[in-house]
Amino acid sequence: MSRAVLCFLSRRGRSGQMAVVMALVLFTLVIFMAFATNMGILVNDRIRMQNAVDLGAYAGAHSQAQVLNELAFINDKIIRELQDCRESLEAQYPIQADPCACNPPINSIAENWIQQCQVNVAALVQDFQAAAAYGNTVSKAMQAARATMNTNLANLAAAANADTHFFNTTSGSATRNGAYNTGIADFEQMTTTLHYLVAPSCPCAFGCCTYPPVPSPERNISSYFVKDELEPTVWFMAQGAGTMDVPYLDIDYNGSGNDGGYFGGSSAGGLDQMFATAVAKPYDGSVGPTRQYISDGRLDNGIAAGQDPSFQFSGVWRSQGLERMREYMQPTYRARLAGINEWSDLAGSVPNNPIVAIQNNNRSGGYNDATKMLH
Amino acid sequence: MRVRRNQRSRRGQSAVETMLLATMICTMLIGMLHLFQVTWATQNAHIRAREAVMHGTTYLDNHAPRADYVSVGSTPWDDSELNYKKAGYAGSRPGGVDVAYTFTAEATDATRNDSFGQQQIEVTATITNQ
Repeated sequence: MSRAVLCFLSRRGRSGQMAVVMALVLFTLVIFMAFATNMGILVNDRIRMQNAVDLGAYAGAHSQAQVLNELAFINDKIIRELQDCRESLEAQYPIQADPCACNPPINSIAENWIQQCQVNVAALVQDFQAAAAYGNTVSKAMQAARATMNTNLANLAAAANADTHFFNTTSGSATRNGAYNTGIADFEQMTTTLHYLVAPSCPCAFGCCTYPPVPSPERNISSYFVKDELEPTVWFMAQGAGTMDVPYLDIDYNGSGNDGGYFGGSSAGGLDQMFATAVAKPYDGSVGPTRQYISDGRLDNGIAAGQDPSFQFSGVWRSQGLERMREYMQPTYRARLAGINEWSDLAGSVPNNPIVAIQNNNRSGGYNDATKMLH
Repeated sequence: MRVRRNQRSRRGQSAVETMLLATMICTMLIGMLHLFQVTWATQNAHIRAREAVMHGTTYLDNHAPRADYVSVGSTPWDDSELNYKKAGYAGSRPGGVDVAYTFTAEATDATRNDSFGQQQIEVTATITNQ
């Protein structure tokens, strides 16, 4: 070919060259920009979701702590009422029996006090039953968790919706360790025995003769409640879940604890779940309404727990047993967020299902590491 | 003569195309940078709001992390005890234990004021049982 032809072909081949380059460059840039935008929204959604779930878990534990504090508080009132009654009887020592009340020797005034005490305690028992039923059947803790998640990430608590950016279906749920129901059936009601020292007044040659004090008949009062549970700490977990619209941006949290995503291993477009755990725990040595204390050997029998182990008919009447129960049943529950390491410690490794891990380990192992309960 | 005229007419064409392309690329890069700032600011605001609603300004100061970017309503945190408050309860009032609580905090952050303007991010975090 001649030089002129080559020159002509070359110029012709270059026409539109920049247009092609520009199209390619622009296409690439647009892709990058879309990707950057998507990633930004995705990361932002993830943070919002994790925050919503964290705060939801805290709200659930906080509500659970409220219920347990309420129950411990009512228990405390019941015990205080019994203490007052016993101290009133004690203050009257020695009590003279009713005239010629020989067998059994009783004092009407003291009997009335006991009867009034029974009435007062019965009213508090009703309060306890109502609070236990309310805290359990209405599932206030779960409701609180869902309400909080819903507030922080609109409609997260709904069963299904399309409101959030990338989560075409979202749901929020909350799970409490099933072993920690607060239904009244989960509690055992204690019986406290009240009686007093009374000097019998028996018929004798001179009318009625007073004899040395003896115990009056025992009056059993159904009193405070204890949960048949040695671990007073209650774990709570909230969960938020959604599915990414864009599969290649999936951040599915898989069993090994690795995130997927475009640069990760899992890109199945599966369900993205965020978990958070929180715990409600009593402080200052309190065991809440559990029976941890009365199983320490000194007050082993719940029925006898209201009785003073140093009970002496001939000495000063004391309410030491009840006082100790009060000391250990104070409403001091607080909630705090729990770290993922805590429940992974429970399971020995990061579990696929932290609910199961918490239940299994908390129940059997009695997770009670004080160093991790600082606040 | 014809060839020369064509060559003259294309003189500077590449410069113009390059200029246009460079402008677009720069705009898109700055846009991406701005989007990054928006994302960054949003995350900052979310993290600040979460911290503020849990702990107030206890662990914030006026340096970094900044306390002046948050507005705390109420929190479950007791600053004097450096611990969470004991959970409030009804005190066996008739009606059970439904003690309402709402803890809130607001946090802000903003992007740089560049050619795409400045975006203010405001986030409210809430803990409630209502």
